[in-house]
Amino acid sequence: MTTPPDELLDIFWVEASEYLEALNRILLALEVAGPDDNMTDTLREVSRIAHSLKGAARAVGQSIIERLAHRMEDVFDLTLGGTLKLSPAVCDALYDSLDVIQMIAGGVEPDPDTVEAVLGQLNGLAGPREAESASPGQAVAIRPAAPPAPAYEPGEALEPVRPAGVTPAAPPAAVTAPRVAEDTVRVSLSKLDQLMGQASELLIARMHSDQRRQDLQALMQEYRRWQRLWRQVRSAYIRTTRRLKDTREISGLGEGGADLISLLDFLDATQHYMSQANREFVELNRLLAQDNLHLTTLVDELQADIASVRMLPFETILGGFQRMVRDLARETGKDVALVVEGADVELDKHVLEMLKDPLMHILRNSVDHGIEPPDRRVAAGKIATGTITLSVASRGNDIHVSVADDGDGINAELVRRRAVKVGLIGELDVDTLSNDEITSLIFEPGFSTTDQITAVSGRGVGLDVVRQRVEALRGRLWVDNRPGLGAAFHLIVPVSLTRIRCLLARVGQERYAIPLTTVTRIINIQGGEVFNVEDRPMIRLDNRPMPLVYLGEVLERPFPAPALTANTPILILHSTEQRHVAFVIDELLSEQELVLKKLGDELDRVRNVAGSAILGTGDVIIVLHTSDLIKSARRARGVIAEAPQLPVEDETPLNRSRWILVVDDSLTTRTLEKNILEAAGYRVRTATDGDEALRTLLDQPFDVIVADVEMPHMNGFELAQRVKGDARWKDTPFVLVTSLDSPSDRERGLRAGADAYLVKTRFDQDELLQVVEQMIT
Amino acid sequence: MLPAMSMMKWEEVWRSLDWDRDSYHNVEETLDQRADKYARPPEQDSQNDQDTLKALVFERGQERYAIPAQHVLRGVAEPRITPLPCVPDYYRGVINVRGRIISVLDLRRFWRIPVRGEVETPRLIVVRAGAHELAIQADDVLELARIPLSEIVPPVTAGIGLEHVQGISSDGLVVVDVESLSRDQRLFIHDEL
Repeated sequence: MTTPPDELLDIFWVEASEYLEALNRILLALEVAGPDDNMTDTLREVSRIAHSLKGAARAVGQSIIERLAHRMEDVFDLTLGGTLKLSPAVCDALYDSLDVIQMIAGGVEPDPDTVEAVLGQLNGLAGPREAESASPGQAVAIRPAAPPAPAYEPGEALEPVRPAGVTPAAPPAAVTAPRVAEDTVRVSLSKLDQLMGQASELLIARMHSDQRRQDLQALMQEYRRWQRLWRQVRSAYIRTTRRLKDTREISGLGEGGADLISLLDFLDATQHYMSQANREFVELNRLLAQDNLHLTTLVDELQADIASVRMLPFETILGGFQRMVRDLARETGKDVALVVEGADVELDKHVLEMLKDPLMHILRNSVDHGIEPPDRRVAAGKIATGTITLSVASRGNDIHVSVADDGDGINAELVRRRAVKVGLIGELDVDTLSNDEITSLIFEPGFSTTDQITAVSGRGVGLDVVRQRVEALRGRLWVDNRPGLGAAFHLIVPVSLTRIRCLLARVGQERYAIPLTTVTRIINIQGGEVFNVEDRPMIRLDNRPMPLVYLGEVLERPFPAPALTANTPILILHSTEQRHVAFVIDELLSEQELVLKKLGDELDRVRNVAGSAILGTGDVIIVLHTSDLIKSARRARGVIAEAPQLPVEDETPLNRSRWILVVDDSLTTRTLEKNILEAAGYRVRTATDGDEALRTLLDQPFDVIVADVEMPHMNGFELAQRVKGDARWKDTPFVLVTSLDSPSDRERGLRAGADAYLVKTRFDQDELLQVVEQMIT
Repeated sequence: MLPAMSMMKWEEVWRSLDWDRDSYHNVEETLDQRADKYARPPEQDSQNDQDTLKALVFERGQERYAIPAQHVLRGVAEPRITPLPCVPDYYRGVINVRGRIISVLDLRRFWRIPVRGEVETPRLIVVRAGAHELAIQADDVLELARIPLSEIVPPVTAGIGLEHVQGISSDGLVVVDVESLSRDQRLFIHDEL
């Protein structure tokens, strides 16, 4: 066989990887199907795919793949004929074949023994086939040719026997309808970006068209001016015409008289013509306005559509997960069901790709460390099969992914010891850290090392790599641990990396965009206390002093800093390391979603600049790099910025011993309140609803409880009632926070026993701090 | 044509004005002929092409420069330049060209030649320089010229900072060597904090 051209091979690899993906997915579906399900169509489908793979492999001379696919097809056909059952052993053999093919597709030449062993397994199942497998030596199976396991014998056991490790996971829709039929075409991302650029160009064209309309209106203005002039000379025109019509005068003028009459006639016609033209202008202007409006709508839709083309359902990365969980569960002798929720949520392809590895790692971690072996589960009063729930939900511009298991949870004590041992925290720190803080140490680099990790999970990456990935996606990651009941890993990532919500600020005569996720607070001078340290202004907020700098100065722009008045807007920004700096700006303009664009290739990395974006007007705006800004600002200050940590000391010891429980179902609110309170020196634990709050209250005493009113399951009123009605907690001050502000709600809250009632307002945390302080003293 | 036009009784108007319609048609004919002539592709003069450099001539700071036409992608008459902070001053900012962000380069500042007084609206010439595109700042774009190669002499003023100059023409045009410019390390910014 001659070597096929490279292009053909390239196409083959793309095709092959699609077949592999489909085979993996369908095989898993077949395996988890119940004995009564009619899987004939699915079996036909999978047999057809194996057949196509065989044909394609033959066409490009990939003989190993061809032979494997060939034998797989045989196995499927036998199953279809009813002479072979898809027992776990059969499936193992098939998965092994897929792995070998995957390996070859990945550019690795498999060693001949492995190939023969795998082929042998398949031969053992399908029986020798005509000439091809005639050589007797190859027929030896590495594993004994599976005595068909009695997997689906009905009535044999009370509990349906499942292939170890896997229970139905993907919804049946994904099982029976492999998505192969739709007409599709592959498009490179750069082409899509180009389309996006052209769509925004269209917007500019529309603006030009607006300009044309203004030109037209100016023309109409001109007409009106002409009309005024014409009216002024109109009486002269009429007089002249009348006089000329008098034959006596014409004869007096001779030849010139006739010319004059012609000219006057023309003047009359022109005047009519002009007024007619003006009516046309008016109509044209109206139509043009209509067209522009239409065009605007179309451009908006076009931009949204192009953006959505980049989006893929989460489902597209699921295949590998199911397979991995299945394999790992079998290897570790556990029973694990992977339940997926929200597989149809769509994400930008790039974000999706970047999520794949971290999720794979978290899942692996959950199977390996989270879920207990069946006997231990039963002993703990749980059902033998552990469940891992992978759920994906869309929250505005963010995607919330969580991996929750019902295993043993994370043992904070073990984490604590480990962290001390590897030197992440000192012995003394241990007491000051909350259990949540201890638990989050598992994301620290250097936490996981080989001696505490089993062979399975320790594949080179620790959870710190997961954290790095999530940070690169500008996302957030945390773990929600319930000892004995399981652990849940939560990730929040933006739907799209290129779309970014920003605050637009004016600095001098220029505008800049600041990613909203890096803005801690927006205040004015009144919101904090300004003081000087060695002639450099600082601002103290919630007892935390931070440098106060003009954004224009950090950006090295030649604008003078605005005078600090009561209304001067200030942005408090934070870096990933949670350092804060207060930046003075000239004016806060708006909040806007932008599409982040790279600068030219020559500007690979410009300090303080994250990229750029094109505004609706077609103008470019620079998107700033917050971590850089903070470094620049602090560097400019030298050590001065670090010095005034001292004033905090006065108040900290007092608050340090105060515990506050924050209850809110919204993560944002929870985090915001936690940050505010912690910044003021309090120690904070959080709960997501009333139930969790009551459980947390059992753990330790609290000085104040701050709870939201609107929460699922048990709302704030009910929680207040439960807490205040319980002798253990009736003296704990209870603050209700709500966006509802009606006298009846207030009354209801106070009747429920709440000590204070706070109405949520944007960015106003002083009130929260004041109320909490009042409660404590 | 607007309906108002067709309502005009031109025949009457011409008659009353004693208009010479034949000469009017001649005007149209003359215009057509002229349009045809301009629409025809220019005669290929291989001799000419080999010996001359087609270049876009522009003015910047009282000096005239020429950029070989093969590098010129387009001109931008009224650019809206967004200043870019924290870059050397020869980068004047960035502009949006068909949805792509292109950096604006001032050769004058790049060559460290003092700039006195700026025009109100600069013009930009977008050029392809090696693998990337740059917008060169100009005070005014003058013409597309054919410069006889024999008239371009290498710059004798080496050492005053005119790097990337192919030569200077007899009438004082500084011919920019775009290829060489595109390889200058000073163009590349990688400023990690």
